[in-house]
Amino acid sequence: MPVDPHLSDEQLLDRYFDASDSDERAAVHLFRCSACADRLQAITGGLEEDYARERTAADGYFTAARLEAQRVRVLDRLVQPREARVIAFPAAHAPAAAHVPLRRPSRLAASAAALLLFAGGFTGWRLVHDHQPRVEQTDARLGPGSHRAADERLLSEVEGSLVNSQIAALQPLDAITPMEGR
Amino acid sequence: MTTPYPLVGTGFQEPRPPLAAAPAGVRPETGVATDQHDSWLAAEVQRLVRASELAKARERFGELVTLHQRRASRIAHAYLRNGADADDAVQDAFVRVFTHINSYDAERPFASWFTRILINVCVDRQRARQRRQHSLVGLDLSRDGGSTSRSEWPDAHVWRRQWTDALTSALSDLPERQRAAFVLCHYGDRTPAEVSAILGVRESTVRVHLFRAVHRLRAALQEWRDAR
Repeated sequence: MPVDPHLSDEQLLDRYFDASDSDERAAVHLFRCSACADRLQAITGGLEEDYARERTAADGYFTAARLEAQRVRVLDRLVQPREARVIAFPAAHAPAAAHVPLRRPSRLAASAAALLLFAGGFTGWRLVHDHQPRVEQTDARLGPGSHRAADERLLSEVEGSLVNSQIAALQPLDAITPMEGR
Repeated sequence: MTTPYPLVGTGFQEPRPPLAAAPAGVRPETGVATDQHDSWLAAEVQRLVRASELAKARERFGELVTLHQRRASRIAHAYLRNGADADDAVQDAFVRVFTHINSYDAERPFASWFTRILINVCVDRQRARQRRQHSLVGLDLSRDGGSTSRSEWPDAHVWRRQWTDALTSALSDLPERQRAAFVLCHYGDRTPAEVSAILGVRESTVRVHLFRAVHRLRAALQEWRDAR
């Protein structure tokens, strides 16, 4: 079976990507054989051009000034590394960082707010519950000299005398009226 | 979030080329120093961090950034095809390197470790961008204008733009390992041996990835040409 003298596709690509490849026989053959050279060109057609274009684009973007800015930013980030934001989800699996105790000023402020809230609530409760007795005392403190008190007392006496007289008149009727359980 | 390749701190998992195998001398085309020098710098940063000398560590790390940022920016730009995204990715990669410097294995090339982290950052960003684009159908957010001169005849500009978009789309459709191998070799000027150290796979596997990537790209671009 005759051996194909030409290079395989793999050998051609090896030559393309690694010119320092130690396969001397392949290198010599490629140099002398125009058919293999054409095949290599067909296989890698456009890649050389793309390589040059991409290199130009990259170097055009990464100018010396941009590379220096890049270096400065890298070194800045080493001093103040960006910390990832941690979002606890679900709450039960929150990371340890979420349980870091509050700083002292925050705790003092929270305590003061709680104390004020409690004091305000207590004062409100006292105001509500002390309101009615205080009104009664105010009425009582009006004293006998007050017209209103005197009027009320008079009306009470009139009403009491009327009720008592009715009761006395109705006593015989009460006596003859059968009552439950008697 | 999971990453396609083991990230920082896990070390390499397949046979890697020893440090001595790294090419010596400054690479003229990129200005990137030798693996020995940047690996030494990274080990120095690691030592300073462990000694809590953070100001000095940052200063040394700045030198590392200077050494690698040009090539890193090219790789990220080729991967993401967007300047601003590439800039953010490179920054994220450097910050990630510094914060995980304790897990750097000083016996291994720093460039491989760093490039691996960079690729993982790019993959994460690419996924996030795809998710965003799915909710913003119709908006072209993938390009930053390119460098084509507007003074050229309009059809050439349009054709070039469309061809580049087709290639970008075909690239983004590649499986991640094929894409990483292709980007690192084609745009990052890495050899398959270097890529094998970066991705933590055998060199023969890298060559297979490359081969498949090129064939897929060819097929996709041929479809695009036929459709025109």
